[in-house]
Amino acid sequence: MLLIDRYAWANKLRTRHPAEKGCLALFCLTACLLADSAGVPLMIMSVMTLLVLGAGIPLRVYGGLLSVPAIFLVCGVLTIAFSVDPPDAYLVKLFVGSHTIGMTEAGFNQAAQTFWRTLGAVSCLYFLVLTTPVTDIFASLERIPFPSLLLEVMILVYGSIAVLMDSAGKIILSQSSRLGYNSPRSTYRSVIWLVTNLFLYSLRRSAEMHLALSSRGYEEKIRFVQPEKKVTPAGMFIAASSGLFFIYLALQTGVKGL
Amino acid sequence: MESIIGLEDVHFLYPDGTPALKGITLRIPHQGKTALLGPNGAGKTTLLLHLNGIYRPTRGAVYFEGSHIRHSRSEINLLRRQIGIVFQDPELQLLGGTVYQDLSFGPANLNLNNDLIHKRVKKALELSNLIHLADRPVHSLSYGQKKRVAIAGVLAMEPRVIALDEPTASLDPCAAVELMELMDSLNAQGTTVIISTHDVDLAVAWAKQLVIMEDGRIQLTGTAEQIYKQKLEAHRLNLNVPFVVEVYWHLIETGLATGIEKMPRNRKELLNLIHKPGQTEHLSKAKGI
Repeated sequence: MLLIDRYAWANKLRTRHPAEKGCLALFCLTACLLADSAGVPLMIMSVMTLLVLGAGIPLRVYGGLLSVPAIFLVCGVLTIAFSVDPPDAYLVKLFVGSHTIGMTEAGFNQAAQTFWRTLGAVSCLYFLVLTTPVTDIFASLERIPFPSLLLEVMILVYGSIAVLMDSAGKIILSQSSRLGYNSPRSTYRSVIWLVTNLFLYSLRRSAEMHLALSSRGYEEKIRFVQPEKKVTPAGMFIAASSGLFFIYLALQTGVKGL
Repeated sequence: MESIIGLEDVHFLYPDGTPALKGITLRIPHQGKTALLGPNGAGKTTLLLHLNGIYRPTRGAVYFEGSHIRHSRSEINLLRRQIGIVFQDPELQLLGGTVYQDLSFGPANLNLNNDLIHKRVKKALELSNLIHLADRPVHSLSYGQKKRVAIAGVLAMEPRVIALDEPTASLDPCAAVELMELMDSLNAQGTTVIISTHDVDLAVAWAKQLVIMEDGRIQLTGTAEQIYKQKLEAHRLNLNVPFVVEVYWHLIETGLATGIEKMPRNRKELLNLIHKPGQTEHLSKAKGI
């Protein structure tokens, strides 16, 4: 989370208007979900990877981030790939008692497609969050009809995560300096203490924060403004047209479920 | 001097029944520089939170510009527009997002139009020397920077009174001096400034009016000269005595300086007393050397 945040604040695409990046990411995401083949998602993924690397995010970091959903995905698509007693011929098979478990060609194709479509979609989201600071996204969401309650919760959560992590870090440090994590027994005790204290701290802090924000005139709604960023026509055109191109390509190669 | 805020026999009990304020009567002079001085737990913060209607007195009354505050919603709104409070912990006061977004929060709550909000934010950024940080996320700043953002957030609302709770606590000396200079320049432009502190040296050097608090009560009110004029009286009351005053008393007692009417309020004034060549001559003659 904080790693993503750090790169979002310091990358070469940071100054581009969030609408340009958001438009590209959303269109490509749509194309990935529509596509009924691995081709379009693979193309999109390479474009996103090039953009992310071009923005100055190290391959190691991007690869590491991508591997997290990839691991879950592999587990997920395995259940799609393998089937029990199918009518088709097997590529791989395994006998379990009177049943046969195996992977058919259709199963394999479907699994591969699902894998690439999902990973392609994830790469679009990673492109957005790695190049766009959360606060830019907030500012954009404020302009479109987005539930303001949800937006306010997002703002408060984003502002508080850093404080909570910081407090947790300090408590852990002070516990370790008193040998709090020396044995399984003391670790167990320390973790209980940590969680309890963080909970109480959060409760107290939220009450105090309400007072402090009230002092700044907070009543029911969190409002803020920020300097306008200029949408560059060229940037917007490139983002929208390449996004639409991928959607067109996805539609041409066959649409999922149609 | 005309007063902008008045407290009349204010008592305050915490919800658990612990008394925090035990009959505070106080006038805050208009466009003045007031310091609430006292140890931890004396009730300084609780008193500050009465000024803009966050706490409501259990007994007693709060006045703003002569009118009794009855804590209706509209009155509290009015108070919070006019009186800005800077909390001791800047993290409590900051909303998050970028510095610019955070600073716009207060003015946006005043229902100003966007142009005016931008103008206010830019002015506050300039005053607090934060322009280069405007685009940074608040949570990535250092403690001192967060403190400056918290203060700027209050400045952007352009209050007539600004109250700071322990403004220099956990700041390095340099940052503390800068902060108090900023408060001085605001005061020169007509803002009433109130600070709470346990730093007696800072309070004496900076404030025009000192309010010494102890255990929920006001022990003494007055200028530094009035409060520290009598050494015996100060000792009897068990006051915490600023360094410059202690040296000043010592200079007078030992005869190293005579005929000094004006009590020094900071190191510079104290050093001026000691280094005046004319005075040394005068002393030598007096002692018959």
